[in-house]
Amino acid sequence: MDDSLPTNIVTLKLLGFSDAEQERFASMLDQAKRGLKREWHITNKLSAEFFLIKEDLIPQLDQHEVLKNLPRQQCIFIRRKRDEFSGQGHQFYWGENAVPPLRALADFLNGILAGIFDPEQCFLGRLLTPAISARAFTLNNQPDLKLFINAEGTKFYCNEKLEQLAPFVSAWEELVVTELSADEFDEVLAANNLNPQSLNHLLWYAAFKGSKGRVIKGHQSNDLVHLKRWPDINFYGCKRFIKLAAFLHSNTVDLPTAGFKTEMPMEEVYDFYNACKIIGLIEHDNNPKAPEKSVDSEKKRLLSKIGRRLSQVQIATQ
Amino acid sequence: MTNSDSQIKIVITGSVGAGKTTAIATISEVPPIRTEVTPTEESVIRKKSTTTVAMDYGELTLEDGEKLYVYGTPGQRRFDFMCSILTKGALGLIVLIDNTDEKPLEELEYYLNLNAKFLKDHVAVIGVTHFDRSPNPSIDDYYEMLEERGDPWPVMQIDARSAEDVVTLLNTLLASLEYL
Repeated sequence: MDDSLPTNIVTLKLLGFSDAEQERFASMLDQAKRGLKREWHITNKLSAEFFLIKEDLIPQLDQHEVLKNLPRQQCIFIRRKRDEFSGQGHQFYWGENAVPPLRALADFLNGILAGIFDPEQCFLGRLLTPAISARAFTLNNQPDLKLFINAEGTKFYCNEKLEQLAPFVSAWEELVVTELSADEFDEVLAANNLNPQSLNHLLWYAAFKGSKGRVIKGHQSNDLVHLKRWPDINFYGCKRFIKLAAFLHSNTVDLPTAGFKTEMPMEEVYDFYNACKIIGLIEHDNNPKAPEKSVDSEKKRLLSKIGRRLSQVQIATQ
Repeated sequence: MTNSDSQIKIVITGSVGAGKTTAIATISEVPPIRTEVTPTEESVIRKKSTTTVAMDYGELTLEDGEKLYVYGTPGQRRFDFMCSILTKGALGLIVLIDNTDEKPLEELEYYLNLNAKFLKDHVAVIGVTHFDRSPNPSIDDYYEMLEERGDPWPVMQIDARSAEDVVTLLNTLLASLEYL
């Protein structure tokens, strides 16, 4: 996102449009503003949260230097006809000379944003809200499910397994947060014999489960990122991402490159990335000094061979 | 056994009682070769009735018949010289630390320093055992300590008796090696 723009503005870059067409679209966007849940801003910068791509560019998708690396979840293809389209990404139908109803445009853009993972609009947002006292979290519809967070916001207390806290992850209106005095908090811990765990475990879990393959709000396709340190491999679901963690720890790259090099689907890359980002393990560096490290093919073959043998060991002991 | 310097091998080192011998036995396809005797060092006698002297050794046969050898170093410090012998030609190092130890972070520091020459151009992965009996120091505490030293190694809690955990540890080492 442009540094100068407020974080609630969504940036959009137009690709393949003439100057006149860009002006026309900007004017439509302006008129649709009242129906939009968030403000959209057309940017001329290289990176953006979304890319509006004219249909003429679709045949070049796999060859075009810029287009081929754009994550499809962030692409909006302008289509003239509702015919077959094998590519992924969002499609907006807009006839050659027709003007799409502004309501349709607003609904479409609002719908796309539902595909963005916004940590502030879910349980995570409440977890991350700074507090001056300990808090109890419960759900209206499941009052027996409870967890507690200390005043420092470093530990959570719960006797359930993380997986059993899944109803919290998607909760919003049914979420009840109660502030507790220090005495009340001590009483609750003593009465329930609750064990403390690092809050990062819960933050990781909530982000990992909650992102559902969506890119986190504010992330741009060509942001170059780096894993400052390894996440705790024992975090929920993390064992599947060992290769991605190793790659992002050794390289500063954009996420599509990380997904391609480690052969991970982008949806899973986003889940892992979002969880790492939420617990502060991600560093942005748009001017990396070291080039991406190359992998020696002979070494890769040997490591794959060992990896396959280890998989057999694991299967044999299950 | 062939000349150990030219073997495809991984070395497991770390504190006494951390589970080096157990980890090797957990994944080795042959009964591991053990060199266990009654310990002589006071700190070791308190923890174990027998301990490794020369080394432990297990193996896995790869698809083309080649072998992956996994060596375990002795825990008693008078045998520390075995580390540099065993790590010669190794792909990487696994350091196992017993979290019930009096000073686990210092133990880790000791083994990283002992293998500092090897780790200049090789990778390590840290496995913390007996976490169920002693949750402190936490994994974050280990990472903080490594960060202060400028060491980038991954850390995870493991149960040396669990094949899944030992395989995860080894897979993490392989992934680190791939993108070194």
